[in-house]
Amino acid sequence: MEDKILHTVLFISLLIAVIIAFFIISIIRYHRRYISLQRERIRAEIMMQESERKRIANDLHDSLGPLLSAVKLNIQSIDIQESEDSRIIHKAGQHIDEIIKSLREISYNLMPNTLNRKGLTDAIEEYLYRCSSVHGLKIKFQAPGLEKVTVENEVHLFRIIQETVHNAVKHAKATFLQIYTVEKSEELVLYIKDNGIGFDLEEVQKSSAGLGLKSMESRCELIGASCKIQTSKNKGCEIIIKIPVN
Amino acid sequence: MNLLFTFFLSQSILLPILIAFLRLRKNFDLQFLPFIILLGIAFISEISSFLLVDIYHKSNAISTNIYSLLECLILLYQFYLWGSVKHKKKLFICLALLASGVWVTDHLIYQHLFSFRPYFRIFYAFIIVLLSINTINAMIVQYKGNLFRNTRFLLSMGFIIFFIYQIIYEASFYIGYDKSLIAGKIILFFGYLNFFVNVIFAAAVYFIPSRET
Repeated sequence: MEDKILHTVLFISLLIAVIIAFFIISIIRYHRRYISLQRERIRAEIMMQESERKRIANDLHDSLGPLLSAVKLNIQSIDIQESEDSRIIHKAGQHIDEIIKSLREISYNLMPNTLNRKGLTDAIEEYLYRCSSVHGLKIKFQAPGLEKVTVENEVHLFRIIQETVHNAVKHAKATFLQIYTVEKSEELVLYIKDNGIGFDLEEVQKSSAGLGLKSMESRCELIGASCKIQTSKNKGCEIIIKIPVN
Repeated sequence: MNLLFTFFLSQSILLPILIAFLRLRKNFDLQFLPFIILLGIAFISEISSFLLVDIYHKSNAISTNIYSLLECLILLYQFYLWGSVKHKKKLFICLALLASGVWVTDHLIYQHLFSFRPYFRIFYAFIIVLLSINTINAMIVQYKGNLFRNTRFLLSMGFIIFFIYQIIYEASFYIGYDKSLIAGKIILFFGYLNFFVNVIFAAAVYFIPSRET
């Protein structure tokens, strides 16, 4: 009788163990499927956003820009006798110049032409040059190996750098920024360091203020990169991004 | 716990049946029809078991055995309709054929139709628990609404509780309620569990969505 009880208990325990194992495997499987679906959704959203930005940037640059230049030319070709009228025309020309400059700026911020024409390194260099001249930020940039980043991922990496520079200037009040890469066999490690006021990472991640960080993390996830942020108050910030290149 | 009390506990199946009857007047989602039919069959099975045992003093093995096969096939079809084995028609057919094969072998070929045998009941309880777990996990990840107001989720929960206990119950029955004190208690507790699960089923039937939604 004892043997019968033992065998029955063993058999039932085995069945229950299989049920538990099935439960765990099944939930892992569904969770992975869910994560992959989420990733696909984020990818689609970001890609749509990028293509829309590109379209608007092109429209601004190629359609409105020349049109405004033509307007300026036409205005300047008017034969004016009065000196007051001439001053007004001159002022209008200056305003049109400002509009064209602003349009180019907006167009550049939406999608830099250099990224499409000359590639990631040149686009970053151009962007950093603009930032340092506008905000007086001292930037050291040395990034060999960026050419290994695939064309599809270039825009995401550019946006990540754009976000970090924006954060360093706007929130961290940094005066010095260092961007460099280290090439490894399977990955390219991008380091971005600033000497700003730093922040409480946990606090920012919990609050809605961390939207830029979230977008950066989403883009990293999209290109299969890992993103690590090391910061604390008054100790600057260091971002380490490991990008798979092979 | 006497037979009459067990019978009254088992009659808690009337709760979901009553709610289903009231809901039938409205257009409720037909994908839950197999379960409603199963409730009716379960009620008939309980009545016939009571009549056989208490009135005619005979074994209710035959009604239990036939009910087991019907329950297994109807629940498999229910999971097929819910999509757990949908798009996998072959899997559904295989499971149904396998279950029928086990039942025919055990009860007809080995001629145990008039006696209690745990094998088929443990086998299909195990399959239904796995399908329920799969359904629940899929819903936990994908479903956006309140799960505790979702019929499919509540029914799957009920199935998991009921059929895991059925496995333990059948094992206790196999050992013999007079052979082990624990086995006896497990068998006696089945009535209460049946009542509890019927309450879950009643809630599940109450939340069946209408056909329009």
